Parts: sequence; structure tokens; C-alpha cells
Amino acid sequence: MTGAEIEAIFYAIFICMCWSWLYKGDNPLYRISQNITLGLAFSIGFKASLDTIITKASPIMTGDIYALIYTVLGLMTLLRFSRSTLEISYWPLAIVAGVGTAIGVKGSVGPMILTQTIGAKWYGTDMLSSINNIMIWVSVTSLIIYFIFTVKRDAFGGTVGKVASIGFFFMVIAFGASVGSGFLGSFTVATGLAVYLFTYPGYFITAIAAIVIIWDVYRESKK
Amino acid sequence: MSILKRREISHVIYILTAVIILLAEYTNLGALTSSKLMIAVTMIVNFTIVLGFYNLVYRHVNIITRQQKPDMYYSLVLIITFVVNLACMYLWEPGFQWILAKVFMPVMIAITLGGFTLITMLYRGARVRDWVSLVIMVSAIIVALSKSAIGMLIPPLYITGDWLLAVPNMSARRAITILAGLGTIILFIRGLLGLERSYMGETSGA
Amino acid sequence: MKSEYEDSILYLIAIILLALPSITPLSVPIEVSPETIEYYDAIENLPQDAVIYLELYSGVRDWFDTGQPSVATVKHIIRLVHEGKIKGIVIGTLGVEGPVVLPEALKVISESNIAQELEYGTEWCFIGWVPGFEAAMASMLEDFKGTVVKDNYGTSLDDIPILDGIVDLEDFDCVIVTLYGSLEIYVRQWSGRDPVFLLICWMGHKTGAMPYYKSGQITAIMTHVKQTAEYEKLLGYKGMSAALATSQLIMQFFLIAIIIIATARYWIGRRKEAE
Repeated sequence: MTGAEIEAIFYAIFICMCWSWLYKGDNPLYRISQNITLGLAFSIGFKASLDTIITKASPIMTGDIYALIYTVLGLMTLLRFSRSTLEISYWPLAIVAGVGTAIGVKGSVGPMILTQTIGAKWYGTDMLSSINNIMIWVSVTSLIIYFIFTVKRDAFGGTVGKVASIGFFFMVIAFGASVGSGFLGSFTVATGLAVYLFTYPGYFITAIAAIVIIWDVYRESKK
Repeated sequence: MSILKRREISHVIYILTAVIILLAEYTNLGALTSSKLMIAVTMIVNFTIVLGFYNLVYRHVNIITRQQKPDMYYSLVLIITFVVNLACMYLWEPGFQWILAKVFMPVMIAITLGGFTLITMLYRGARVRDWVSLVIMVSAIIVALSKSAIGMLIPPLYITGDWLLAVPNMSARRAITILAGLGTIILFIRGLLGLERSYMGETSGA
Repeated sequence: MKSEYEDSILYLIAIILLALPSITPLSVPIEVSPETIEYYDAIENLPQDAVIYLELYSGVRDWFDTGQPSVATVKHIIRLVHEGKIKGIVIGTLGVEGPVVLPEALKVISESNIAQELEYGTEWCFIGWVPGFEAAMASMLEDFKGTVVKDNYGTSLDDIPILDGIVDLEDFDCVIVTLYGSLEIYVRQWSGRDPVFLLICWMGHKTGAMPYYKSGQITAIMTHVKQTAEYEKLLGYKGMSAALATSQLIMQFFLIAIIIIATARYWIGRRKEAE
């Protein structure tokens, strides 16, 4: 057997093990494949993390003070194993949280707020695009009003509620578009894998799996 | 030593770090410190990942030593796979390449059960009972078909699907994006005021 | 029929339908759409001696979704390097799931044959996994070499010729992000800056990316399967995506049929209750 054929057999075996969930739910074959996945993912992740720590810490040998600071901060996270030093272990996490929040804010102001409000125009190059642009502005404004719960829906004689319902209509369409996009993306993986089950040499494994399932259905029906 | 254990120190570090980053972004003051802080985070994250792995392995070793059946057999599979793959990565590269091609790839791709749960969800729950569900389903079907292989072969379908994405969908997403951006800023203000302390293992203050 | 077998039978029908186009000559003609031409032109029209950064944030499970357009993009770039239009490409990954996304990056590299086609160091390089996710993204904007330090094989970035003159991410001429999740994070850190920003993603992400696309922060978007099949047609080779596109179409009709059956069951059940 060639290397590609051996690989195809392994693909078929693991596909049958994982897809056994579709027939029996949580079963030993699925649990085994799940734990193999986790074990492999953890080992790759552990090695890469360890290698990165060594790479970033090695400049200490050449007198890089920043590398020393980074390593000390990283080692401080390990102080969480002792109750007496638990609070000190939160200092590097406070740095991570502070940096994370600040860069989140930094990125929100420009791309998420200003560019979305400044860039959009009321008019277009023709009648249709002008109507589209006005529709976009109406729906954006009404949807923002929909999500502001500080003002009650029946305020200003019910106007707030009516405007919010326009936004809700557009949100429903957006949700439908999301669902439709979900349809498109859901089966690509399964399509790519199903080929291994129905072509040589995977169909031998599929045949064995089919016999086992038929026998199990027959056995269940006799109970 | 007791002063070092005060929670306020973590909070002050959080505020200082955030202020340095934002000051560097908007005024260019402290740009070097800001850059070094961000690199420090990439190092701290690595240690937390190693910590996470330690916790996970510890948990599974615990299950095995306490002989909790049947979980102990699955934990054994996990630990053996972890050790064997780690050993191959460090000591035997061809073995690691073999595991990568013949075990890692198929099992990582197949474990996701891509899309089958969608079938069950639609079969049990996709009922068009009112105008909301009708609009959702109609727009879903139009977008799905317009962006599939037949979309370009039926121009009105393609144009409608494109319009649905470019106008109603885009406008709703724009509103959500603006509000999400505002939410990030509000979260930051809550962090400054000490109301968000999840990084210290506490729940929100108010 | 027992109700617990209903789902299994649906799954079995789905599996058979999925495999049909790959084992029969069933196929749908692929027409190239304007969006695919926009993505193709965005890469073709990059300035002379451009250096591209390709971010492969997706795991092995996305091999059939975002892996295929990533391979097609790399093949396109290889062709442009051979024609002398582009200087080269730098490949990396900041995947938040951690280094477990590395094998997918390695698979894209091997399937596109970049190691055989281009010279490592002068025409391409692989920086591997960079920890820190959003912090690393922000850090790369300030100091690329300080954040990454060494490539995946342990070579210092200062010794890699293709990175000469690259101080921060904005020194690249084009940034292409292959996405699995967290669209907002990449967009808010990297989009709207000097480099041309391109996105490779699922169709679901495209619906979320529309505000950024329409405001010009994202230049072009490449989605999986159907659009990738069009891209492969433009590039002149037949990849996996054409067969995947036919399966995808068959599954759309299957899902629509399920929705119709589910709705019919509901209304028939309600009528029976009313009677």
C-alpha cells in the first residue's frame, strides 16, 4: 500500500470513530477520539509555548534587561500556587488586562465608531444608491434606538417604540442573512471528509462500520 | 509583605498600564514603554498557557490515580497521547510528522461534526409560524442560494442576495458595531472605576 | 420508525448527498463574480516589490473552508514573485487557540509548494506562532521584529533579507488575514491603515464584515468554497473547491427541504389539535 492509501485508511477510521456520535451519541469510540484530539493539541501547544518562553528569555544571557523583566513577570504568575503569594500573582494579570482593555479601546474608537459614522454618505451616484444610503441611515439610527433601554418604548407618545420597531425589522433581515451564511459554511468539512468514506481504500472501513451499525440496529430491535 | 497583598495594587497596575498605552497612542508620549508593555504581555500569556496545561494534566492524572471509572481510561488515552507526541516532537521528528499527517489531521477535522447538528436544529425547530420567522427564513434562503454555485447563473437571485447583504444586513451590523465599540469604552471606564475585577478572580462590583 | 433513528437517518442521507459530487461527474458551472475579480485585482495591482504579510488564523478543522483559499492566494503570490512583480511573502499566525493552529499553517505551506517554488529568506519566510493575540497584533504595529524576534526555525529576523526595512506592520504593502473567529479584533487593530487589507473568511464572517468592507477598511473579501472555486478558475487550476461548491449547493436544497418539512409538520400538527 502506498503512503496516500495508508493515510486514507487512517482518515476513514478516525472519521468513523468521530461520526459514531451521529448514531450513538456520546459513546466510547467518540470519547477516545476526543481525548486523542485533546492530547495532541495540548502537546503541540505546550511545546510551542515552552519554546517561545526560551526564545524570549534567552536574550538575558546577553544582558537584555527587558528580557529579564518579561521573564520575571511571567514567573510571577506561578506564585498563584501559594496562598501567601496569590495576590502578587495577579500583578502580571493586571498588566495583561490593562493592556488588553486599552488596545481594545484604541481599536474601537477609530474603526468601530468614527469610521462607521464619518464615512457613510446620505447621497449616492444615482437614485437607487441614494435610496439605499437613506435606508441605511434610517435603519442604523432606529437600531441604535432599539438597543438603548434607558428610554422607555412608550416615551414621546410611543414614537420611540415605533422607531425601534423599524430597527428590529432590519435586524431580523440581518439575522436571516447570518442564518443563510451559516447554511453555506456548515457542511464544507463534512463534504471534504465524506470523500474518504466512499473512495478506495476508505470504503472498506465504511463497509465494516455499516455492518456493525446494521447488527446493532437488529440487536436493539430484538429487545 | 502585607502591603504587597493589597488588591488595590493590582487595580493601580491595571490603570497605569492602560493609561500608558492610550497616552502613547494619542500623544506619542511613552511610546517605548507602551511597546515594551505589549511585548511583556506576549511573554506573560505564554506562562499562563503553560499554567493551563499543568492544571489540565494535573486534573487528568488525578482522575487516573483516584480510579474514577470509566473516565480514567479516557484520561489515560489523553495522557499517553500527550506524552508520546511530546516525546516525538523533541526526540523523533519523523514520528511527529507521521502522527501529524495520519492522526492529528483526520481527528482534528472530523471531531467538529461539521454541520450535522444544524440538520437536527432545523428539523426540530425551523417552523415558520409568524412574520418574524418568515422574514428570517426567506432572507436566509435568498442569501444562501445567491452565494452558492447557482447564484451567478440566476442574475435576479444574485442581485437580491447582494442587496440584502449590502443594505439591510450591513446597516444592522453597522449599528451593532458602533454599539459594540461604545460597549468596549464603557467596559474600560468600569475597569478604571474598579467595577470590573475579573482579572483578579472576582465577579463584577456593580 | 423509532424517533431516535430519525436524526440518524437524516445524517445518513446528508452524508450520501455530500459524497455524491466527488464520486459522480455531477458539477455546476462556475461563473466568476465581481467580488472575486476585486480580490484578484487587489493582489495583482500591488505596487512593485511589495511585501505581503499573510496571517493564517484558523485551525486544521478549517482546511476545507479557509485552507483552500489560503493555498490559492499563496499560489497567486508565488506566480507574481516569479514574474518579478512582488518581492515576497511573510507567513505567520497569531491564533488565540494557541500553537495548535500551527499544523494548518504548515499544511498550507506544503500544499502550495512554496518551499520548492520560492527561496526561503529572500522570497518568503515563516514566523510561526506569535503569542498574545490582540496584544501581539498591537505590538506588531509598533515593533514587528521586537514582537516576533525569531522565525519558526530559530533564525533571528534581523538575518532574514525579506524583512529588511520592515520596522512595523505598516511597512508591509498588504496584509491578508485568514479568519476563523474574532473578526472585530483583527479589523480594529489592523484595518484602515497603510497596507491593503484583505480578508479570507467564511461566508458568515462576510455578513459581519460588511460595515468594514463598505467603509473601505477592508479592500476585498474572499470567502470559502464557491468564491474560492471562482478564484481557482481565474488562476487557471482546478482545486478541491469546485467539487465542494457542488456539494454545498446540494446541501442548500436539502436544508430548504428540511425547513419545509418541519414547517409542514408544525402546521399539520396544529390543525389536528384544533380539530
